[in-house]
Order: sequence, then C-alpha cells, then structure tokens
Amino acid sequence: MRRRAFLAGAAGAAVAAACAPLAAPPPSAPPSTSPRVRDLLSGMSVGAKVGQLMSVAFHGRVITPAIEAMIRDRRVGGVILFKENFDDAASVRRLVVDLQRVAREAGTVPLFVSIDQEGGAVVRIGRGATVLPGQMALAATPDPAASVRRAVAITVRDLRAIGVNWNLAPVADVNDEPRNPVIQNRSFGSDAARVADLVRVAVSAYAENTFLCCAKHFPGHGSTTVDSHTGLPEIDADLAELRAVELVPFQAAIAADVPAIMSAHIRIPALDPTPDLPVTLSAAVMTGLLRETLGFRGITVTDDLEMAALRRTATEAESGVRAVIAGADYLLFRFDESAQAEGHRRLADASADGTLPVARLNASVTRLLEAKSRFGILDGAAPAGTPGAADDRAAALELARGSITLLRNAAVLPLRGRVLALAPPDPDIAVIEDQPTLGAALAAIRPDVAARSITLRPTSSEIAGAVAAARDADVVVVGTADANVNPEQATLVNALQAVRPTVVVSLRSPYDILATPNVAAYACAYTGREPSVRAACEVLAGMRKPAGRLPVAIPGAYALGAGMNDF
Amino acid sequence: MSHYPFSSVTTNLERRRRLGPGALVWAGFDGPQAPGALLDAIRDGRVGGLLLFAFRGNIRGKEQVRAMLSEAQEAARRGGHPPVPVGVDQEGGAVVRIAYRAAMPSAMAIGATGDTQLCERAARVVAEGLRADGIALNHAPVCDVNVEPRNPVIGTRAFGDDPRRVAAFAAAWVRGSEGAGVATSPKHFPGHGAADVDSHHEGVEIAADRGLLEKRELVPFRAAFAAGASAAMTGHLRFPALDASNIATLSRAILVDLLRNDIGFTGLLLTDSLDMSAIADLPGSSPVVARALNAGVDAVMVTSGIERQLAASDEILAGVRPRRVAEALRRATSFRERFGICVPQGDVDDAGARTAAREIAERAITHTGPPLPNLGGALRVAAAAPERGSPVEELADPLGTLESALRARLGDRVRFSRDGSAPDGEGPLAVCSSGAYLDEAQASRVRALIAGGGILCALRSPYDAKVAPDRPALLTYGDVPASMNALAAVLAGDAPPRGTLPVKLG
Repeated sequence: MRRRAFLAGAAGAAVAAACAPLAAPPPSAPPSTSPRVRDLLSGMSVGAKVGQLMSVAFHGRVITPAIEAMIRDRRVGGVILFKENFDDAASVRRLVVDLQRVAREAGTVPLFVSIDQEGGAVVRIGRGATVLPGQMALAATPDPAASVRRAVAITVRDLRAIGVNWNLAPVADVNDEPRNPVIQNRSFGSDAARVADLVRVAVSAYAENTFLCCAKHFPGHGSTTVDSHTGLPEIDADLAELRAVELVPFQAAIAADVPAIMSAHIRIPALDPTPDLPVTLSAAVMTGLLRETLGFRGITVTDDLEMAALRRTATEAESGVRAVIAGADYLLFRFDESAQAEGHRRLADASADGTLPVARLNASVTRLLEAKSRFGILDGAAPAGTPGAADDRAAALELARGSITLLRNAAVLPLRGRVLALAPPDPDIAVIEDQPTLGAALAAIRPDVAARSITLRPTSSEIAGAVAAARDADVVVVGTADANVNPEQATLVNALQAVRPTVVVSLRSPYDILATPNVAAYACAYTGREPSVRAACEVLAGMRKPAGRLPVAIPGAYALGAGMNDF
Repeated sequence: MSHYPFSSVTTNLERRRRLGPGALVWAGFDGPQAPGALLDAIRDGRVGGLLLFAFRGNIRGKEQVRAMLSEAQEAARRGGHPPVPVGVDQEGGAVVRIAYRAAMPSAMAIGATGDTQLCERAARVVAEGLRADGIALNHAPVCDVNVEPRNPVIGTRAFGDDPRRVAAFAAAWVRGSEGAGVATSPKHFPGHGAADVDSHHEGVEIAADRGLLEKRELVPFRAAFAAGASAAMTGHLRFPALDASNIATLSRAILVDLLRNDIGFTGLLLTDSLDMSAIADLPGSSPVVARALNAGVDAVMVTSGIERQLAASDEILAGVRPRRVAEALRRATSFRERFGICVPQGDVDDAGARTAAREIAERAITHTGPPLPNLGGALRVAAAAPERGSPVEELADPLGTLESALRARLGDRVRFSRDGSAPDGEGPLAVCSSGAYLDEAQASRVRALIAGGGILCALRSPYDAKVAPDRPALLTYGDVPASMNALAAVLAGDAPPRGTLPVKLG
C-alpha cells in the first residue's frame, strides 16, 4: 500500500525537507474577536451555538419542512449542497436565496452555503456554470500557478453569482498511490513540494477574491488504497514521512492563512495509535498536531460524518460530539434528518453536562462567526453576477488545452483512417449533465468517427463486441477511468490492442498506462468533462499539439514532468 | 513561481537526428535509380523526400522500384536519419504512375458510382499497394470542384462539380488512404477546378469572391482535413479576392491566414511542382524556393534539376526567416517519423485492388442522351481520337484493351477500326472519343462519324457528350483497363450502364 518503493523518484525534494523542523507553534493568544462577533455570540443560546457547529444536507430542490426546521429551530450554521438539490446554476441560486431568507426570517445568523466545486472529477454545478478542469489538469499546464489562479477566479465568480459562499476546495492531498480510489486527479500531483506550492497559490487566490475555501483532506488522503466513503483507510507512514509528504501542502496552506481545513476519515497509527479511531475523532491530530504543532487558527471541518469510515464505530450524531471534543469546529451532517436532530441534541447535552466545555464551544462558534464576518456572509449580500460567462467557458477550454499530456505515440497520432472511439458516458466521480463522451467529442471534430459507449466495468460480451467493431477500424481510441481500480477496462484495452493500434486517453488519473502497457499511444486528459475531453480530441485529431507535463511520477513508466510537445 | 523546473522532458523531436534546411526540399530525378549525388544528400539529411514519376523513368516495375527505394533508405540509415518519405501521384484514371498494381478508374468515375464506401475502399487498396513498395505519400485526392468544363488539367481528376459531393468523396479517400498508412495531400489548394487554362503552362487566375470560394472551392478541402489528411498541396493559381499579387503557392494570405489560421490545417504543406511554367517563369529575382517557404509552405517540390535541389539549403538559409525554417522543419520531422518507411519485406496481394477497380469501373459507366440501341449483337467501333501514348506501359493502349475486351465477349461480331473511319458491316456504331470537347478537330471527326446514328463512347472527358448531344453517349471518365473492360461489357449487352453523371453537361 505504501509509496516507499517510488518515493525516491517522486518526492526527492520533499524527503530533503523532512529534516527541517515544522513551523513553530504560534503564541497561544486567543484569536482577536470583533465587537460584532462578540455581540452575536453573547446573544446566543446553547442551542443556537451548537447549531452553528452544524452543516446539514437535505433532499429536494426546494425548501423542505425538515431543512426549514433545522434552520429555524436548531439554528444550523450552514448547508452543504449536492447535485440532487438543483438542476442548474439558476435553480441553485433560487434555492440559496430562499435558504438565506428562511434564516433571516428566523432571526438567525446568515448561513454558510458550501459545495464541492473542485473542478474536474468533483463538480456539483454543471449546467449554467463554468466547468473547469480539475486540479491535476491545472498542475499539468505549462504555467500551473497562473492556471490555478485563473481557475480559482472563475470558480469564485460563478459561486458568488450563484450565492454559494464557501467552496470546499482545494484538495491538498499528495497523490502518490496509483491505486488510490478517491483522490487521484483531484490532487495537484505526487510531489509534495509542488503540491504545496499550488495549494498556497490556490489559497492565496481565494483570499485575494475574498472567498471562503477549505484545504482538504487533513492530514492527507493521497497514499491510501481504500476510499473512506466505504471503509477506514490506514496510512502506515511514520511521522518523519508524514512531515516529508502529507503535511507539506497543509503547512503551505496554513502559512497562506487558509481559513478552513477539512479532516479525513483515515487512521494514521503513527499520529494516534488508538484502534479504529479516524483522525477526525482524534484530539492528538485535530488539536495536538493541527492546532498546536502546525499552528492552524482557522476553522476545522469534518468530512461527511455519514461516511463508512466513521459509521463503523459510532452513529453520525455520536461522531459529531466526539469530533468537536477532539477539536473540530464545523460538522458536515448528511441527509439523515433524525441524525441531524440527534446530533444537535447530543451537542447541547454535552455542553450541559460539561463534556463539551463552554470555552471550547465558544472558541468554535467564534471562529465560525469570524469567518462569516470576514468573508461578508454576515452582511447577507444577494448573489451578484452571471455564472458560466462565455469568457470563463473559453478560459476553461484554454486551461484544458494546456493540460493534455501525451506520453506515448507510436506513429498513430494524429488519428488517421477509420476511427472507433469507445468511452464511458460518465467517467468522472461526480456525475453532471450535458457532458459529451470522448467519442461524441471526437465525432464533433471528425464526423466519420464511429463512437460507442462502454461501461466503467465492461463485461466480456461488451469486450467481444468492441473487438469485433475494432476489426472494421484502423485505429481505436479508448477513454479509461482508473483502469487500475477497474481492471475490466484494462482487459478491454488489451484485447483491442491485440487486433488494432489502440490509443488510450485516461479520463481520470494518469496511471492507467500501468494496466495497459502495450498501447500504441497514451494521453492524459485528467478529467472526463467537456473542456478536457474536447481538448484531448483536438490533440488526437492533430488540430493542436499536446502541451501538458505529467504532474505525477508514474512508477516504472514516466517521470514527473514527462510529456511530448509534438507527435 | 510561474514555471516548474521540469527536468526530464522528452519528446520525439529531441531523440531524432536533426535535419538540415535542405530537408525542406523534395527531389525528383531521372532514371530507375537514385543518382549518387542524391544518395549522398539523403545520407546527409539534405533531402526532404523523393518524388517518383513514370515519365522520368523512375517506375519500370515492382522489383526495380523496391530496389531503388531500398538503396535510398539505406543511405538515410547510414546517415542516422529515419527513412526518407517517398511520394507519387497515384490518383487513378489519367494520373496513374504505377500500373504494375491495379490502376484505379479516375476520381470522376468513382464519383459516378455515387458510393463513398467504394471510394474509401479504392483509396485503401491503392495505399496498401504503395506502402508495400515503400511509398507512403500519395498526392491525392484532387479536391478541386470541376465547375469549368473547359478546365484542361483537372476534368476527370475531380470527383465532380458539386462541392458537397466532392467533399464526401475526398473525405472517404483520405480516410481510406491514411487508414492504410499512406499520407494524403488534398490538392490543389485552394482549388483548381474553376480554371480554364493549365497552370503547368501559364498563369491562371480564379475570379471568385470569398463567399463563393467558401461555398465552392473550400468545401472539399475542409472535409478532407477534417477526415485527417496529413498533408496538403498548393496550386499555382492566383485568387485576387484572397491575394492581389501572389499565386497561392507564394501567398501568405492564402497559406497562413486562410489555410492555417482559418481552416486550421496542421499537417505538412507541400507545393505543387515548382518546375511548372506558372511558377518557374515568374518574374523577380527572389528565389522561388525561399518565397514559397516564407509564404508558409513546409516542403518544396523541385521535380527536376537535381543540382538546383541540392543547392536549396543555401537559398533557404539566405532567404527564409529562421523561425519559419524551424517551424517547417518541425513539421517535416513529424511527417517523416510517420511516413518515411523502409521498403517492407514481403508483398501484398493485388486481387483486392483489381476487384475494387473492376467494381468501380462497372458502376461508373454512365449513359446520357437518347436511349441506347439494342446491344448484344453485332457491333461496329470507330476511334475518333488520335493515338496518345502514355509513359506507363500498361496504360499505353486503351483502344487495344477495349478491342480485346470486346472480342472476348463478341468474338468476330465486333468490327473495330482505329483509323478514324467507320467499319462496314452490321450492328450499331460506337464512336470513341478522348477529349473531343476541347479538341475541335476531333470533335468534327466525331460529328461526321456519328451523323448517321450511333453511340458516343467518351473514354475520358464526360463533356465530349456535348459534341453530339442528340446521340446516346456512354461515359467512362477515363481509359484505364478496368474502365475499358466495363465499357466493353455494356457495349456487348452484358451489363447495364449504372453510373450517375457527377457533373452537369449544361
């Protein structure tokens, strides 16, 4: 599971940094508090205070009685929006305006409205917004820092126009595990120093745009082989290794004054040996390491409390209390309304019986209110601007064009002759509408291309059908999505390559070449969304030269920075 | 921080031995083997590619071609260069340089079948034959829209006179050829079809405005590029609407602004032969090789005068902007990586090509005018056309091919005259023409022969039917053996004419 085998190639610079001490702890003075926040806090009941610690999700595209009750009666601090809450940017905006109106009428503090709009694999708002390439794609462009700044500015413009006031990004994980099922292309790469650099750029860009962001998933989810949505991943690195790799981008984020950090539901025995205890619930990590050692003074956010990694040991509500006691300020509750209500009750009880000391509660609420003040949320400004501006969409395409990384071409690109294109319709982790498949995007450029959809895990009859179709083609293009995690894709590609030269375009992580080592050509698009898919097709068709450079080391195959600039 | 210090960037380019500016010039030569000076230049990376012609004596037979190209590639290998690309004009019909493999009917014959799949198949089998002999660039398809019946140089080399139809066939040709690993060079950009004089011999001007060009000339080129053409060839014509002073080959407005920037072509841009009068006779002291490169072409075709070809390096260094040289060399290098090939071991079976040629020819024969007389009995044939030799031996005697094919079907019921007279005897009279529309003397003979009735057989230009519009005509769009055999089948009553006319006779 562990990366040691290729640490030397991937993170040489970071290893050197391991010997340097961590940032000195800051003075232990309490955060300065504005009079406005002090007044708000002093007027709050315990129920209102613990409500502020909670973020809730809800089903539906309109205000439901349940969410209205959570705002009015439990006075939750905010909501987190998912795909199911809207059709398009305009409907999110209407919903957000309604949510804030409910809060205003209830006389409670304006809500945090948060969302995972990372770009690339994890995008919630598709229609009506600018869909950007993901972080790994940005890191692959010729000028990654400029690309990150540009992407952040566009994201902020869109979210501000929609009324969302908190983006749960950037991902600060160092992805150095080819089999990582959940981070992969969401990361800036496999090199800790470069990831740190781009995280700092992203955090600074959010600050320049006065917009709330959140670095995640502390202390680092990049080297796991288990998805914490489905199990409890464990990282068996020692502290020196963590300091050399995982923690480096978080230190950079903290140095750039990141306003929030989200914890991961993973277990790191070197940081807290307690059996079955994820770091989200570990005081040693959330307070000892994050606050005291690294000196973070912003908001600590838990990842989703409903995730399997936590539910093994506690209910959502129990986990919430334990997370706050361990040091979390803001708890992401999912859809379960009774768990939300129970969470609120348990937090209030813990405050009443002293399990959750008043000072600890006040410190968290103060941090949350300070953020609401600093980022203009308390002012209750209406959404401003138009999301998905034409210029921004053009910029997204331009960013994607810079990212396409060609690693191999045995004289099959540009595509010539009869082309068969096979790709899954939804290659990304989070599904949004109106995204063309790789085949459809190619057919838009080369009308004679035969395009077929494949599933993420093609069956043997699907593979046989594809091979039969390939015999009528001169060259086959296959879009893959984590062929290492979905080995059926590798079976398909290898069967195709046996009959026709096959071009693989990886639509998620760049490691798919490891599972398909004999392909005639290999390009990384890093994302299966429209701009990246279109940019990849432009390169396949020879309309543009590839410009991207690999932001990860692919063990045994390609070095960091690899990439052809011609065919 | 703006750039990461990427340390280990590898590209194909950096692994290759560098080519010199001479590699922007392609060379033609005389005889069945490359001269020593040319082999030395290939070895030294001073030649971009080789051009083969039948009339220069380059193509005498399969073994000779393979031996000639093997020797050239051995020179490239000795110099540490990838194989040098080799190009040929193997369009089909009137422009066939290699006939030891099946000669395809013309583009217009293919257009007359109405079947783009058949076109793709033809391109594929032609490409397989070329590639088997070490040739991976075919200067085809002709993308010109033949809207000028008096066009002396395009004619049956075009798929027709309807831009969209030409586009569909051009794209199919590109797909088939490129799919079999032979580069295509759609020509003659931006379109030679509206010309009424031959740019081989004099200056040609196309007086179409941009709107018309967009609807007519450019449609097939856009389609061919969208289908993945790896190269393109310029025409030596003037388009005053695009560039008031320069022919296309020397026009930055046409080659860069239009072709690269507007149409978005990214492949290798070749000139038509620079030895043609239209360009060789241009006034001005500036060397034409340098002018073409400065205008945006990547590869200059110097088909004769090997000394001139080999001297081009100096001309380029002296007269072409260094960035332009670098850009053209990049494209030349990419192209060479893919389409410079060694002569392969083994051979391909030509049966597929022969079948495709036969099928196209059979489906192309087009009947126009009044109904045909009853066929299948006795037949008289008269040739109104002068004998015209071809440097390609297999194509040198189309009338002989037609006569043999008719005899095989009709035995002694056919009477065949090649002296311009109508044979005595029974049966309908078939009068064979070959370009009578542009040849008044021939047209008079046709009219005299057919005055008493008969079938006009237009062996090349379909416009010959206009010479005797009140007589039934059978159009073959070219006189390759497959087309002559198909015509014989129709004249013998064994097959119906199945083609549809791809041009308007007006």
